[in-house]
Order: sequence, then structure tokens, then C-alpha cells
Amino acid sequence: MNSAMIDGITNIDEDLIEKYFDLKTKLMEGKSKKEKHIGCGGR
Amino acid sequence: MNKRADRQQEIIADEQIIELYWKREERAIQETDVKYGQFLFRIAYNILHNRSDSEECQNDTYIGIWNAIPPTRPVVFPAFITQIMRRTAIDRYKEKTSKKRIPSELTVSLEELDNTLHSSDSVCSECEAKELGKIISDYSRGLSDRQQFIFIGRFYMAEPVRNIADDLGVTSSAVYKEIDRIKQGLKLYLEKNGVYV
Repeated sequence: MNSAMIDGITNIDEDLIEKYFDLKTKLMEGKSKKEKHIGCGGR
Repeated sequence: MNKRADRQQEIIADEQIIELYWKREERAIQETDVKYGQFLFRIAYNILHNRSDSEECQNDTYIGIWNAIPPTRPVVFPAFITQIMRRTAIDRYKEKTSKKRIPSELTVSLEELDNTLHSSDSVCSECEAKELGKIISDYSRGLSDRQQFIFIGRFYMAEPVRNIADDLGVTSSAVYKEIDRIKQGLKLYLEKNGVYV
């Protein structure tokens, strides 16, 4: 186990975690739009 | 039965949850649990791979949030609670791995980084965790959005590769290839900054 790496990654800057959530939200929004689009096309 | 369904419909905005913490209303914890309970549990479970340990960490995290707000007023609430959850779960992970190996996603993701940073103890004495965190953060900022998503998802959130691939709409092998590139880049970046590999 690499404990230095665990501690280093645990201490990464907060803005990077915030950006991760921002990207995740965008990906989820894109996914649900796509699903809605596919859903409409199937009707 | 219906109570749970009703509760799910009553999910409130993060700003309102933060306000409840500031008012010291215990409902803040309930609301956090309704909105983020499953999500927090998953982070702990990715790290610990044990249900009861993850539940305990989740409860400790709620106490941690309660103690942190106020004075803190988080800008991005999920990012803030994720940090508390990760630290709590990592402490538990270290405690447990000092006794035995845990077959968790974190263990697997760290093994992926094994060639990136050797001799952890000596590195730790030379480069404090916060300093290393800064270097890793700087490296991460130089990555593309997609690579950042993979890097944080895999090594901070300890997300399984298949979940990341699913989020990005690509195959797991594409994510593994990207992880390889990120690792190589990180190794060079650490060396450049005097972190011995």
C-alpha cells in the first residue's frame, strides 16, 4: 500500500473536486437528454 | 412506506441544507442523508468494501459536517461532504490495512499507481502530504477535462473503471488506456518536482 500517495491524493485542492462534480453533472445532463431523445424517437 | 417516497420528493436545495446547518437544526443531517446518503455510502464502500464500516463512516461524516458548518459555508456542498467522507473512510482504511489487506476499489486503484511512487515512507518524510497534494493538484490542472474526470474519479473517489467508462460513454479499456497515460505523466511530473520514484 502506498500511504504517501493516499495522503497526497486526499490533500488535492478542493476546486478540483468541485470541478469533478461539475463535469459529472454535465455528463449526467447530457445522458438524460440523450435518453429523452431516444425515448421520443421510439414513440 | 409512503413516508420514504414522500421524503424523496421533498429533496431540498443544497443552499437550504447549508442554512439548516447554520441554524443548528438537526433536520440538516436528515436532509443530507435523504439527498446524499447513498452517494456518501458508495464513496466509503469503494474505499472500505465493508457495509458496516461504511455505515459507521457515513455517521461519522454527518457529525463531521455538523461540526464544520458553521463556520464553513461550502461553495459546492457535495464536494465539501465528499472530502469529509473520504478523510473519514481513509482513516478507517489505514487502521484496517495495518492489520490486513482490504480488497477494495481503493486498493486496486492504488496498485495501479504503484509504479508511480515507490518507497512511500521515505517519500512521506521528504514531502509532506499537503505538499504532495499541491503537486498532484497542479499536475491535474494541466490535464484535459476528460482526463481530470478520470483521474479524480478513479483515484480520489475510488470509482470502479466500468462506472467511469459508463459516465463517459466509452469502453473500460479506453479508460484504462487513459489511466496509463495519466500515470506516466504524473510520474514524470513528480520527478520534475523532486519527488523520488
